[in-house]
Amino acid sequence: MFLINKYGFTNLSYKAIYSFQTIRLFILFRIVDPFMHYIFFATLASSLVGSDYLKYVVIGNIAYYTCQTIMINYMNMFRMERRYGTLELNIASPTPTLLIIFRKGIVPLLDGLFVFIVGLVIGWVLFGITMPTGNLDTLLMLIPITMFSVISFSFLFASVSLLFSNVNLFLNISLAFFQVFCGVNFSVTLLPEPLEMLARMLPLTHSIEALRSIYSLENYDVYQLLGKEIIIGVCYLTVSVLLVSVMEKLARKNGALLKNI
Amino acid sequence: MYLLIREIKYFTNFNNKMYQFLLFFQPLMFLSIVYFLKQVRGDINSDKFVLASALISMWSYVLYSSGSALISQKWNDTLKLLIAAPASLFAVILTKALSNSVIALISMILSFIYARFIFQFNIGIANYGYFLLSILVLMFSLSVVGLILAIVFVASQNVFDFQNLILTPMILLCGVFIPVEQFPVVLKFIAYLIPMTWGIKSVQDTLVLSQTMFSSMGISIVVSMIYLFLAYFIVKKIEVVLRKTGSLGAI
Repeated sequence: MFLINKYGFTNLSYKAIYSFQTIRLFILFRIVDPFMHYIFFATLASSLVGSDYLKYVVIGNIAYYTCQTIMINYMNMFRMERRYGTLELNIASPTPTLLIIFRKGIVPLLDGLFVFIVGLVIGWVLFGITMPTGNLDTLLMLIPITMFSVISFSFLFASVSLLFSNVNLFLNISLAFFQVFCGVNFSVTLLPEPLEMLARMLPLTHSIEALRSIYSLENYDVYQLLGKEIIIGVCYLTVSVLLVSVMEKLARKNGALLKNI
Repeated sequence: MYLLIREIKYFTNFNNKMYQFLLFFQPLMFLSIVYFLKQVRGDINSDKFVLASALISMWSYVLYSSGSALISQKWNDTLKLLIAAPASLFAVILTKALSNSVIALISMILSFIYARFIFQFNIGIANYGYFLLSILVLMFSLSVVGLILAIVFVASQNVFDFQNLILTPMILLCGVFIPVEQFPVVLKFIAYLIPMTWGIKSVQDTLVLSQTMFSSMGISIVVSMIYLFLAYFIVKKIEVVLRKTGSLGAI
């Protein structure tokens, strides 16, 4: 019964947040759309630099699209709660706010995981990015680590997004920032030093380098990169938990959460 | 003309945050990618890619603004006022599509300014007169495509989701990166049916003063005119259905 209730909570959250409720829409937006995204950036990079660069860009964009999926969905959850006035009810309910948020995060996490795995399969079948049979264990280790750091960042990102009156603008600028600064289409080593430092504080940057190294497109120490990605994820998670706790305390004190926005 | 000016003033208002990303930030993103990819291989002719960044911004703006022009009237509950207004629905939508093309031009100019002054790219425009002419042709084709999109998305509940879905395929299909001549026959056939393909081709031809530039402009105008007439009859039909039944597709 306890498990059914837990599943029911996540299922309700899915029904409430997601606009893709049918198999047809899910295929369109979780397989066709990412595929088009990969083709677009592969074509851009190939026509600019040459077709030997295609695999490099597709791998970067597979990780990026996963991050984009999780960030948009997590942020959407907070936005919908604010729009329908149920954000404060989460705080007032006897269930701890953090538990509510984590449970709701299951759907974006599974969605992101699906996009990531499908992305790797698309890369394998259509772009000839051969599955690294020798490094499969490292790849299996990379997937949860990347998911962890991205969802930790998304948690913080979604909380901060509550401060903005126009969330779409904030989201689009942030995603464009990720597209340029996380080494999605080119190595972050090409960035000026201060910007490279900034890039290395973001989630995804190390994961993309590790993923490319697993697929033998770059030559970095994968375990070191994954270690850094875990540390980044823990940092973002700590900051976001603190932020949510502060917001919760303020909401209890003022009787409202960000009502003046 | 009054409607056109009002539309442009409304959408270029800095308080209107909806399209700020498309106008101001998206060109920066694409130019940054081009700038750093250029460092991977230094001997790249950047002209084509600066133009591509500008075209992506223009197309994105037209897609999101004109594409939801009709259905957003429903969301704002002003559709019934439009139906009751003395101006025809076609005139209203056409004005919106035209104003969106004008604003898309602002996006192109901004892209060129960023490219020249932030990223230090050279934009090799050989003849400014011909280039301006081709831009006008492109704007006309974009307006017609915007008009068609407004009609097509009437049927859609998830307008923005479906707009996201066609954003990148259309850029690829219209030959922004790879010339349409190199496509497989079926894709080539589809691409040539899109007025924007010809508008983009005429701008690309003019940039290098190709011998085919005038014929590209001519074909772009002819194809766009065909779609314009088609759109006129469809909008008239929509107007009749809306007056009669009060609903159509998603609206």
